[in-house]
This record gives sequence, structure tokens and C-alpha cells, in this order.
Amino acid sequence: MEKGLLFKVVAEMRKLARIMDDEISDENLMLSYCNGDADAFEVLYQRHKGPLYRFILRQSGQEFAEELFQDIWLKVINSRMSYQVKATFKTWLYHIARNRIIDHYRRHNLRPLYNDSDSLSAISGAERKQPENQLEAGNQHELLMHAIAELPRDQKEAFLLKEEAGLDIEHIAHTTGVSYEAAKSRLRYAYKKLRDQLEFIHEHR
Amino acid sequence: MNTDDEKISSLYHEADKPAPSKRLDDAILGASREAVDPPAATRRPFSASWPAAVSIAAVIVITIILVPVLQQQEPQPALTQATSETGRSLDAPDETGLNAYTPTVGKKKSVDAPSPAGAPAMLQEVNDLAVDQAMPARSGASSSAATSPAVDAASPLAKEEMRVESDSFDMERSRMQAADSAPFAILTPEMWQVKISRLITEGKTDEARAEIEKLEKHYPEHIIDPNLLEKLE
Repeated sequence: MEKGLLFKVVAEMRKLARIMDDEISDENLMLSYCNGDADAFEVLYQRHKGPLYRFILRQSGQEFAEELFQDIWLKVINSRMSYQVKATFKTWLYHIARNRIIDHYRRHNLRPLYNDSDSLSAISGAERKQPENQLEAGNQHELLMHAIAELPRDQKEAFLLKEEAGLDIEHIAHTTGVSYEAAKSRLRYAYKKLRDQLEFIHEHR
Repeated sequence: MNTDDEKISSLYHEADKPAPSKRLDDAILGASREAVDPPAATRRPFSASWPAAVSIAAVIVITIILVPVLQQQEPQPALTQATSETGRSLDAPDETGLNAYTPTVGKKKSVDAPSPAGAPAMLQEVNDLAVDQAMPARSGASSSAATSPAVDAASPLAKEEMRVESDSFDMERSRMQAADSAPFAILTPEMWQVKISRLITEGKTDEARAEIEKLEKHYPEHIIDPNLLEKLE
């Protein structure tokens, strides 16, 4: 019994070491998984589950996030036989995620929210009613999340790919299927709007 | 990225980081494992599957061993046994090249081969011949018994029975002798007619006539097919 527990601990430690080991690329892990190494998939999953989940959550909301998240990973699992290293694994993963989210928007006939100064004013007004000590760091994060939610979908997507997936402009362009300049422009506008909105809130506080 | 953008970036990363639930993790990782490694329920352990494998192997081995043995021990057909007893090989071609009694199982049926309906009759006749061969010994024994003083002293009924028996043995002996002397004695009249018909068809009318004479000689009571005679004329 103790021996079994020891083996389990060692196996978990080895997995953790693989997750931490950046030398093993995502692509190699995926290829290992394609060859039947289920542990390789687990390492991949542990590396990307958080950022991918938040990438989905910020765009679709809590209601659909888990369903979409599961669908995307199942798509990865089912694509293992046809997987080829044509791009980085991360680009491929977020490309799948993006397509699934767009499909979700179309299926549910949803429209992404656009920036609306009135809604932000309403938020800032509500925040002003709260005690000063609660409006500090914690609420700044909350306000930022509200501001991100209000971004146009393309800009929000570019911002999340940059901040969550850690993609550079070139890979954002590749993932979203636009030119480098278009991706750069979306990203610049996203940061500008977030900055403006946060300043707007502070000014009206 | 300017300092303002970096500030927003750091603010974003300081915020809470929601993550998928443990249930979701387990579901996805379970699916990933099942995809590359079928669940244990679908894979039978060796301990559960070996009896079936061993049984199949045993059946194969026993079959391989027993089939040749059984083939060797299989009783010879009565036909072969009878021919061996009569001292004639039915497989060997006779004077006319007719191989009338060779079993046709697994062989291409030829014109000379007996028809399926005639085969049982021929087999019966061959068996009769085999029985006949055994008769002389019994007949000799009977005749010796008939001349013994004990028989002379027997009742008239017993004498009559012995006489009838002796007569029947004599008839059988004569049949056997006739069969031995004639090359076609083992042919039935029907088969003989088939042969004659074939000879007529081949234009060998003289041979056909000779065969008819032989047929009449061996089977005087048999009525030859009139159509056959018409053809010959």
C-alpha cells in the first residue's frame, strides 16, 4: 500500500517536473500524446488550462465557459491523429478556441458588447457609492474586468491573446487570420480604450 | 507597449485568475486517457481470456492429431473389401477399358461410369459374389456331412432339407463360376445396355452386336431394350 502511494507521488512529481520543464516544447508533448502518451497530454493541459479558460470566460461569460472549454479540449484530443506541427501548439490551440467561440456566437445569435460610455458611467456611479477603502486595488481589478468586457470583440480577443496566451503580435495575427498591422492596431486600440475607461472612472470618482 | 499599457497588463495579472473546476479537469483528462488507452472494461485481462485461448489451441491440436488417425482407421468400403476377396481389382481397367465399379466419389463422372441409380444394384451384386466365394467351403462341409453315416440315419425331413441346401449351394457355385469366366459378369443388364448404346453411338456396331450376344448369354431372361436393337439395325 505504501509502495503504491510512493509510486503515485513519484509519478506526480515527474509530471510536475515536466510541466515546469520548458525545454519540452508543447509540440513535442502533443506529438508524444499522439503516440499514446497520456501523461504528455496532462502536462499540456496543466500548462494551458488556466489561460485558455480565462480567454473563453472573458468572451463568453460564465454560463458557457465550461461547455466551450470542454469542447475545445475534446477537439484537441480528437485531432491527435491528424496533428502536424505546422505552427506552434499555442497558436493552434487558440485558433481552435477562437473558431469555437465564433461558432458559439453564431449559434446563440449573440452580438459582442461594444464600448458604451453610459454603462461605464453607471459602473463608476455605483462604485462611488461604496466606501473608499473598498474602491482601492480590489475594485480596480473589477473595473478593469468590466472595461475588458466592454471592449469590441476583435480588440478584446487581441488583448486576451496577448495577456492570457502570451502571444506576440505576429502570432495574434496568425491566430486571428489578419495582417500584422491589423493585429497591432486592434491591440493598440484595446489598450487605449482600457486606459481611457479607467481614467474616466478615476476622474469621476 | 508603453508604461501605461504595462500598468494595465500588471493590473490585469494581479486580478483573480479563475480556473476550470476539478470536475471539468477530471472529465477532460479522463477523455484524453480513454482516447489513447481503452478503459479496462473493454480490455479483458489475460487471467480472464486464457481459458478460451487454451481451449481453442487444444481443439486445433486434437483435430490435427486425430483426423489422420481416424482416416486410417476408417473401415474400407464394402465394395473394396468385396473385390479384394474375389481377387479382382475393380480399379484396374478390364478388357474393354470399362471401369464400371470404381467409386465415383471425388472423381469426374465419365460416360462409362455407372449411373447413380444403378450403383446400388452393382454393389449388391459384388457383395453377392463375395458371399459366393465363401460358399465352397461350406458346400464341401455339407457334402461331406451328407455322406456321413450319421446323415444316412437321419429322418427323411432332415434329408430333404439337406438336399435343398445342397442344391442351393450348387446353384450359387455355378453362378460364381459363370461370373468368374465372363469378363462382364459383374455388369448389370442395364449397365451392359448403356455400354452397347455407347458403342452404337460411336459407330462400333459389330462390337455392339457382340456385346448383345454376351448379354443375352449371361442374362437370358432379360429383355433387351427394343430401341437399342432398332438403332443397331
